[in-house]
Amino acid sequence: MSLTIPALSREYPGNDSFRLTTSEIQLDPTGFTCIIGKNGSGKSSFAETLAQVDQEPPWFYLPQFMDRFLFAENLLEQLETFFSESIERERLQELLIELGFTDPDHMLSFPFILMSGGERRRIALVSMFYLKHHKIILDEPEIGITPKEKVVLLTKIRNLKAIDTRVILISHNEAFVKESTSLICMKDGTLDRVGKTEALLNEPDFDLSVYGVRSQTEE
Amino acid sequence: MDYLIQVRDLELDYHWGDHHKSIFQAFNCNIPPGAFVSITGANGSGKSSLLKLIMGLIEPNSGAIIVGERQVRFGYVDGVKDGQIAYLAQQMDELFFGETVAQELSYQKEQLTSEDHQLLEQLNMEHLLPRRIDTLSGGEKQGIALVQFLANSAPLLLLDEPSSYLDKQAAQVLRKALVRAHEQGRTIVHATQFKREVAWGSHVLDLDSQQPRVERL
Repeated sequence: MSLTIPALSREYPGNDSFRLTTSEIQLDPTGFTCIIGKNGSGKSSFAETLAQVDQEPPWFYLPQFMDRFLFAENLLEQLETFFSESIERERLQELLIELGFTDPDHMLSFPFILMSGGERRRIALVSMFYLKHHKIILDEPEIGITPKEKVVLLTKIRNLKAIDTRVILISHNEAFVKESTSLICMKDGTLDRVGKTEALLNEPDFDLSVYGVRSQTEE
Repeated sequence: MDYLIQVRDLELDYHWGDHHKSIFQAFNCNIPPGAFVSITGANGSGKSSLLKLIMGLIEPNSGAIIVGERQVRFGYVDGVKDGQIAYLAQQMDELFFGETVAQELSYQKEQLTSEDHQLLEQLNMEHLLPRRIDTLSGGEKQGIALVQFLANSAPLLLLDEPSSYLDKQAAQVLRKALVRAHEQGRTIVHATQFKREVAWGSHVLDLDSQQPRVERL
């Protein structure tokens, strides 16, 4: 069964030059989908709007700017607001180790305010992976994390398909894009190209750099 | 002058309630004028903190930072006010003053310069001039911050992972501009996660090493 993304439309007060208008699309439900496009092409608008309108079941949207997501004082408090059951500390600590934290017990109650940008990003990812959502949208999750942790993140995203989780990822990173199953290519608030990644990459006129994707040799 | 930036016996800890995080202990380093230094290191190693210390945005527990002939004073950002330092932050979300892009870019000057227009054109962002800042995407905000930063003629440039939000084209504009600024003899201190970007510069400071020091590439 394919994954249906409904037609989306959104206008922005104070910005007459941009409007999001996309038609309904069917995506391969296996693996994950990447949204690509230059800065300002509408990638985050698409993701935010999708998360607002498609609620059955709801998408979990992890935004680009972590300060809009990490509202509690520390990881345990953050999870307790989402979760009525008691926290599985062991599983949480395993996730912290996977995402590169060497002192996981300490990080459970370590205040976000003392963390660097990259640490906050990884904590947000830990929180998201812990919550086991069925539909996830990640908005440039690789920003600010080290190359080693990017590899871990890519592996974890790849593994989500095994537990039947739908993942949409916004990225400028070629490694993530090439690992995806489907691509949504945005331009000026519209869908420029949509299809299976492998098929698009094999088309002679298809060029990832047109959509602002940075090659691995540039990182 | 042998060194433009001297960091002497720096200690920096952050505190919040009962929690404590140590960033620098007895940290020393020297940056020669005209160097293009890439600061590397894991998340939380102190890359952003060092840049903020050089500007005077955060106060060390002890030690001193000297830029040029002057010791940095916490809270005064003298170097920025005097036009000696330009800073490009990791996340530009809260650092804009203007309502529109045009207002933001013409802040403290009568009109946009030809350089502003040239940079906007290179970034394909001229159409953003009438746009309200709060309607820009993350990447567009970083692009506008980049225009502001690159149009600044300060001799010392501090950059905190500036390319994170940029697409391929904008990242290329940044690279070319930094290489040109280095050729002009300006000093650049650039925090980055990208191995490739380290090669843009002349020196590296790896904060993950046991005794971090500024080393020529």
